[in-house]
Amino acid sequence: MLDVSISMQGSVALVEVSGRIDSMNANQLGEALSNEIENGHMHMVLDLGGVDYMSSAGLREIVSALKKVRGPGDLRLAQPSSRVREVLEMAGLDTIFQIFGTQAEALGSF
Amino acid sequence: MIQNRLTIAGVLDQIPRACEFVVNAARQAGLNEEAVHHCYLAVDETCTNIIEHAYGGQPDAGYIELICQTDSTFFTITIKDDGPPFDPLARPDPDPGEPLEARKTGGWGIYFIKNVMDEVNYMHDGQRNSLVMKKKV
Repeated sequence: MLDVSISMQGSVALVEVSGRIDSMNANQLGEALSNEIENGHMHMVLDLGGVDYMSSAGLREIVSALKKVRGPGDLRLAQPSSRVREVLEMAGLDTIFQIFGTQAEALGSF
Repeated sequence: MIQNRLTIAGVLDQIPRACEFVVNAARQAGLNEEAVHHCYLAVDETCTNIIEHAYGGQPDAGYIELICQTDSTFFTITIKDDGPPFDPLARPDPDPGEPLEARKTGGWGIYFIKNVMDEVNYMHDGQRNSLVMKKKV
């Protein structure tokens, strides 16, 4: 249900996700982000272009990752759908995360 | 009034069945796709809370019953569980304006339900918890 793929784009870890992020699989995203952080990749872009649904379980994982990297690095979001953007906005995370309309813009922001 | 019922085991991998059941009933009630999506989110968050908190993530801890009713004003979703009496609406809302450093990572599920549904009420009938969530038709 959830596909997570990771690649290095220069010094930035690009995490591309597709599917639905809910309580059954949010830990899969959390583990992928934690692994990157443990490997010293503190500059990350999370591309949500392929995600058509995210519940609070998904928010928990991305906020947890942001708390770990912000300062020495950052976790920036790319192309959230309108439905994902809605939950980000309800939780006030649209002002906490840097959010970009395209993957290229997010990668280029570092 | 149209009424549909479904009972699922209180385990995470049964949540998609609950959501699908409510989505079908919401579409039959004539809700638009944004409202249907909001019902999906509300059911997902409610069932997740019950399974993780009331049932402690334990298989065989209990069941979740869903009832969908439609009348001329509202599409109503009632979700019942066998956990200890607990009013999720009594908890203070998290603050969306809080800075990152002050934030807890979780606690947004009930807040989302309150935001996306038109009316949310909690009841305990002496045996079971009921969360009643309404969306205007």
